[in-house]
Amino acid sequence: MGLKLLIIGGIQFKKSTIESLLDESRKIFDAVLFVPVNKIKVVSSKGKSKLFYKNIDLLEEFDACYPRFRPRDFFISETVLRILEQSDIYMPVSLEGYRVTNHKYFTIKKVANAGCPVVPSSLFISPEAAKSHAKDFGFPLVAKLLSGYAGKGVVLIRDMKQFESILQTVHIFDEFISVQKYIETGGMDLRCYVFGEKVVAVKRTGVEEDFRANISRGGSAEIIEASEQMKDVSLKAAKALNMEICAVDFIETASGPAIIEVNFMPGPFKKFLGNTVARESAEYIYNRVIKHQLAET
Amino acid sequence: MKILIIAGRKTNPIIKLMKSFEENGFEKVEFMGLKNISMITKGSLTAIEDSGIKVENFDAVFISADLKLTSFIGPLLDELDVKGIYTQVKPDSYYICQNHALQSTLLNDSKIRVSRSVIFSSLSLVKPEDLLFKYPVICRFFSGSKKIQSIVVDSPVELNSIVKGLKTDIDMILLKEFIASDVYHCAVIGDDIFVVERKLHGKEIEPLARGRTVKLSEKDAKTVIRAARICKCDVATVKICKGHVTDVLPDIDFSALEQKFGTDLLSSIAKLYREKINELREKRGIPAVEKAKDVVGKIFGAFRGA
Repeated sequence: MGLKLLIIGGIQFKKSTIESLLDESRKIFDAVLFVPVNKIKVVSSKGKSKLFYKNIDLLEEFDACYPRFRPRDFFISETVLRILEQSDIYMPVSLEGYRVTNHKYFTIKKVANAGCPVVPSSLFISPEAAKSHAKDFGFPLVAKLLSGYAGKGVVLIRDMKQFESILQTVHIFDEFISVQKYIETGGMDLRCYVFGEKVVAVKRTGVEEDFRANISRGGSAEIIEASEQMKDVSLKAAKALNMEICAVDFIETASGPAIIEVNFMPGPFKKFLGNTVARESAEYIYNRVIKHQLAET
Repeated sequence: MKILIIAGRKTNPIIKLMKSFEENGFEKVEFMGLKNISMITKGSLTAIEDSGIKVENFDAVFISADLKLTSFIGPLLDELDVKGIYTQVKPDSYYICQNHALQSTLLNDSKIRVSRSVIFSSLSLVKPEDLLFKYPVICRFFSGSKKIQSIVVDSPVELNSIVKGLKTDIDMILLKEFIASDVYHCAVIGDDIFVVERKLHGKEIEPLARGRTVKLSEKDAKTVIRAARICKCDVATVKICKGHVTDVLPDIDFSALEQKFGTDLLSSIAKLYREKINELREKRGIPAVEKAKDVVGKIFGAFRGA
């Protein structure tokens, strides 16, 4: 019997990303279905929870699932991921990975616990505690909304006055921010895509006068040879978050590369890398699901 | 034994809890206000700081925090776990308890009786005529990670009009069977349960303060303790209604319950912490610490035996 892959997207998914993933998956899987999470119905009764799309019982139909959830869909995504984890369906990501990578500070703390080099980061509840630590790190510093993504909610803070006004705003909206030490990189960072034990490294360069190197903000990307150290650290970070597919973002510091973020559903940078990321993801899932099934028989 | 209490404010119930730990032989009981805490990660180490207090100097931490602080409590509990410090709520507990859909499916799949539920993340999928269970139903609407409305609905027509009238962006809708019955509000502390029966008046449950203390059946008691553990809590509020668990929270309402159970409730927490700290010490090969009066009792008991 052929292998079937289910791809679940966030409520606001990027069409071109999903299309390239579907194209590459269809080349190797016998059937591939894409379902946005807002089309799924969760039925929980008599000791069992099921996921339905139209009348299809998703847990019965598929061999593998690649969920690509955004922070915005947090509650439904957590619920769906837990049900998938309990099922026989293979997933290259985890509930823990989703939960932690949606929280910028938690990610840094987790990978640091696992021995990965990180950019010094902090988390606090009150503006007073935040201000006191800003003094420790010194200005400029980087403030990140915990739930931001694709460079959104990341601000370079140049002085206490600017910081105070940001703190006031996030407090009003019941948001938390994490503060990171700012390290000058010339708007350049490094991303390591992890596919199981394989690492594909990419150098990203931001647009002029933007300290962020996000492609979604107009930057560019090119594949580079990853150093052994970056490969090791990326694999260690992925393992710490229980993820087989993810992307680990680094910046170069005086003492070597340090992690700034880990991505649950990394963008494929299609404009610069073509279908590389989609192809690697689909091939990894295909090979892994065969291993997964062999291990079960 | 040294214990640190982490809470929003040093309220009366928290002061009484601290006193209870002292009376139960804890040599050091300190308070750390949530709003003063910072977590700082440098290198492979994370420090939990509040003007000089170091959590590493304590055997255990008792946490009392609102669910809306989950983004802070989540990493905090994780770090306390890494440091090997006992807390009454485990990593994940706040995430499980803040997400009704996650909690409900987790309990259901762990064979805890919960009311049947259907979860959607789009209003367009809600078909009021086509539910798996009878009306009335409890409808809970969520936007982002906030519950914006919870209401008991009597009919498909009523549900339809609510769904059509919603103006806010809705990210998740949870529909649950409504069990028309009184609720047992249980404070679970380890294996002890303190229960208040709250009467149902129409669709409203009477306030906790008006309820009366009762005992649970053995079957319900087992269910309630298991539900708390599944949600990763040694101390929790579990609401149970006709054998169905309806809610688990990672905290207990000290001010209301203390009036009904007095010092028993607080002593029970101290007893639980003593047991857990001793368990941890045993694992690490450190001798267990007993309560001073227990030691005296044992010595006199030995003399009497002789």
